[in-house]
Amino acid sequence: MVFFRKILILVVLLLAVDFLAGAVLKHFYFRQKSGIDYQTIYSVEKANEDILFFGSSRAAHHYVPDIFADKYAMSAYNTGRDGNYILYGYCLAKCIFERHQPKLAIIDVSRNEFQRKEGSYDYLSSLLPFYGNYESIRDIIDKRSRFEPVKLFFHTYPYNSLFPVIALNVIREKSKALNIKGYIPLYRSIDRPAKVISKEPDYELDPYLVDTFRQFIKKCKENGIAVAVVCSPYFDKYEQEDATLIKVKEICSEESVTFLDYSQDARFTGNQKKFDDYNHLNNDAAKEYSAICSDTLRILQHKIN
Amino acid sequence: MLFNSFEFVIFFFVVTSLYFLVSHPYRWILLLLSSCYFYMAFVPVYILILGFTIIIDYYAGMLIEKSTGKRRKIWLIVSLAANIGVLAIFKYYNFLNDNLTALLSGIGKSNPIPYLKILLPIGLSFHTFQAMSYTIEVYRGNQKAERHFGIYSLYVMFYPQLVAGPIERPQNLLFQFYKEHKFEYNRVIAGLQLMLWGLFKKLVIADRLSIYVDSIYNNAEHHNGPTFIVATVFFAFQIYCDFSGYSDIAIGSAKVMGFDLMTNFRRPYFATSISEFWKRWHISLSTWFKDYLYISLGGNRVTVPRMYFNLFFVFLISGLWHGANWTFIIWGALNGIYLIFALISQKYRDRFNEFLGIARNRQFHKILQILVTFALVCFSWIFFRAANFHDSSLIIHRIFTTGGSVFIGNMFLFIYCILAILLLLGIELRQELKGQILYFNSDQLVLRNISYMFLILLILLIGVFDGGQFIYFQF
Repeated sequence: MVFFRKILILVVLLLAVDFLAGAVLKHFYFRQKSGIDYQTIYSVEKANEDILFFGSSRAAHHYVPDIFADKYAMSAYNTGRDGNYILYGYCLAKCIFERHQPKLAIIDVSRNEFQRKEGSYDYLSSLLPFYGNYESIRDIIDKRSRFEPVKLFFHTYPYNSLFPVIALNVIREKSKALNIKGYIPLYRSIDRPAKVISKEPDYELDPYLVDTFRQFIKKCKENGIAVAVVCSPYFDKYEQEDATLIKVKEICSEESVTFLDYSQDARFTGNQKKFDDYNHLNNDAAKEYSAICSDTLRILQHKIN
Repeated sequence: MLFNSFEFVIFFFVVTSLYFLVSHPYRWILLLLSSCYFYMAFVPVYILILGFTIIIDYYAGMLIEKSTGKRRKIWLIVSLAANIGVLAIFKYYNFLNDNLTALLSGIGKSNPIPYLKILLPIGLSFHTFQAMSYTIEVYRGNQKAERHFGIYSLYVMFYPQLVAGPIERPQNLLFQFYKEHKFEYNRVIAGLQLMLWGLFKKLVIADRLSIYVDSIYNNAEHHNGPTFIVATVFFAFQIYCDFSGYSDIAIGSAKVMGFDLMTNFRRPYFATSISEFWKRWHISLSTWFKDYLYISLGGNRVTVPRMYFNLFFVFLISGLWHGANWTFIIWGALNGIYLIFALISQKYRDRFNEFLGIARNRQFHKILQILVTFALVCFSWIFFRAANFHDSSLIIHRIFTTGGSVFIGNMFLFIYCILAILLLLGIELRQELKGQILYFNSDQLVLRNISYMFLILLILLIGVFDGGQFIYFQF
């Protein structure tokens, strides 16, 4: 009996400490003034721009909202986030569309994005702090593991690993992140010539990711939001068509949505001066690319609408 | 099923609760079934391999005991051949074939032997070695052959130590399955404490360090010498926390049920020599090699050159045990060379220390010895961690030829890694001097609970929950 009494005391103590620490972390998490998590908070809770960009780091580094805003005479915001892909974008869209419908949603897709791989839902941890308040994204976040709802019983779990980041972002003044509306510029040039990749290993598509992409498009259409899907430029030259992009093209065609594939655009691909690394354009090239992309989308605007 | 998964938390709770609820005669069935479930959570079909070696060794044990003279030896050889054969096929076949291909291509010929498309069964080297220790001990007359097939199967499959040790001896483990373990408060607490400490080392330290280490070692061509030095030191602590963390959880979870497994680590980075390091690092494997290979080769009771050869050979095989890759073989050989050099140079080093007056200042001498040992161990870890021989040579070349500033990457992570190592060293120093982790054994309830809360909170706040496997599972 002594054992169980002591264990009970320990469990109660643990739950109390967890509750307190979780409450403190939650308080400060949502009071961050800058940084990557701030961008997610802004996207989920405040974004009210006319044009929204969704995607991974390639979206975050490739689409300059001001250029689109000028061209369309509309406001624009880039919700792209490093290391986060279609599930993240779809979750953001679900949260945003509950309170605001933008006029245009631009979804940036990457090669291999729908590849089935172990741990490919792990990145959804960036949305754990929103699990409690946004019921619509719970089923997607639950994909992380069978026990996700049980783990979320602990109040500190959504803020796992975030403690130092939260502390710093609360203390420091607003960074440039807000000023550039979610776009994160890169400034280096790549120091190696482009590779010519004739064949990549075949891979299996993850049906859940493919379906999410389709649902994403449908969700936009249901909300009366014009949607365009884009694959931005890559540095290396790929001679083989990618399975994800083939699927994207197919779904876009079925859903009558514009798909622009710049992945092998000769104006960018292979040009060392235009890339920060093999996946990301640098700032100058991102501006050039944004201008090209926005022009093309304007021409296609009647189709989009 | 990984020890650092939520599935294991539930599994452990259910199995342990049932263990104390089920009456003693049926407990072995519960443990055997749960061990099968535990193993099959990885790749179910590989339980057949375990089944194969269990059947062979079970009968071999009884036949060895019954037989006399040459027949006794023959049955031992049959058992060893079956175990080593399984290892050879699943672990070394493709490696040997790779080398044959390279050799034949050197003389312009192609290799006609096909490759096998197989996955290495998890923990194969561990349970194979444990099974071999059984038949060897029966052969040596130190252990009676086990008549109960279920108990023998459990000896090989006991879930806490099935996939990454400690590699047990039959004399230490088999009899424990016959003992009735009552629920003992102190034992359960001690087991849970060890599990908590192991989980902390794995989730809070090892898996965080691995983020930095992987980013450097997986992009070897892009980094300079100082960065590799830092990454290698981080790796030294990563692999220690990863493997000793696993061992602590294994020993702790067995202890909760009343089983005593052998100690596998004793704060190895406080070792003052390479020889002491190996008495503190992966003790169950080091003693396995000493008991069954080194002594069989003649051990110390041979000529000095032969003893050196024995040492070198044992470490070479130990390297090969870790993985079918030349980097592991070099790692093993390097440790063998360290030991031989230490033995040869002992006299001269003592004289040199005396001459410099270092030996007179005991504390300083000890710290110096710890640092030198740590540096040598770290150097050998380069081969252990590098993906291949090319990378390890590149890294060593860069360490000795390039300077520059250390790649920091994520500043938070980098500072965190340093703080985590300092915290570990602080806790382990206290353990080394006072024999307890934090205030786990304090008489003060408050201090004990603060210690538990401190570790649990750090696990919840900083632990890596998506970190994945333990490094030693691949062996």
